[in-house]
Amino acid sequence: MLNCKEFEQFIDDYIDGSLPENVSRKVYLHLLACGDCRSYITAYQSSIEMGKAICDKLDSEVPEDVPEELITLVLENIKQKGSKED
Amino acid sequence: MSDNKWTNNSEDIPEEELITRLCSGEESSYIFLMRKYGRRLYAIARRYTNSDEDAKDCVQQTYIQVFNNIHKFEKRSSLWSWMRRILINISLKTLQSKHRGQELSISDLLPEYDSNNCRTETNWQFTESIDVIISKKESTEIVQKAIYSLPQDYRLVLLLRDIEGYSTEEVATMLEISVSASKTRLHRARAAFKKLLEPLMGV
Ligand SMILES: [Zn+2]
Repeated sequence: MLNCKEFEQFIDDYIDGSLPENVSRKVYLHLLACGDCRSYITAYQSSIEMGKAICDKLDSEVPEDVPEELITLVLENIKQKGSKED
Repeated sequence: MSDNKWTNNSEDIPEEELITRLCSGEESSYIFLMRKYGRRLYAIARRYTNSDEDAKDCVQQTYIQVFNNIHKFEKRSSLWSWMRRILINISLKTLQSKHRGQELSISDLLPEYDSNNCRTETNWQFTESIDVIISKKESTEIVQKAIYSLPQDYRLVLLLRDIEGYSTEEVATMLEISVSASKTRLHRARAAFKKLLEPLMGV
């Protein structure tokens, strides 16, 4: 029987559904027996979900349009390069 | 021919046509591309550099690189994915040369066990739904603080894998580390991130 510390290394594969066949039974047995690890996995997955949702929210809140200054600088740089090659 | 034809954001151009115009060096197509994706690229660069100034520089460098190399774009992915990858590579390079902020030590953030190797962390109690938690203003602050408290090596893996959605293999390539290192770092980063989000759950 796995203990919690041994179980820890299989968490990401468990979440991805890519547990190696030889360990999946051991992992499921541990989860069945251990409420702390069940709770831990829920918290672990929720953190990923909350991180992603909040980053997406922040992305959508970036207020500024592309600064005209940036457009001008990029265009100038491209032209300079072009004229050097001519 | 009006150079302003494509500078209006409300008008979209089919990607195929846009690429052709970019390849032929039409300035209006450059401007269109910058207006169309500048904001999204900026948001991503900001996440990696944690600086408005650096993020702007990264976006600028990205466009210069995109325009200079557009003829090398092989269309194996969308133009957006290609540009995003260039932006992230540039942001990662920028980071290498920067002073690091308020990072914690990863060893203080890993899971804890008792002498029998049983978990000793406090379980999370979900008294509110995740959607409710996410919608709170303080949650945004806690999540941002958590991200920037992670040591950089771990933060980058977490951002690339869980926020940007790259595969473990892609993350390994981008950070020039082995696949197994990328897996180990991801696991530690997620465990540390979970611990850093405990204030959200009243733990
Ligand atoms: Zn356990």
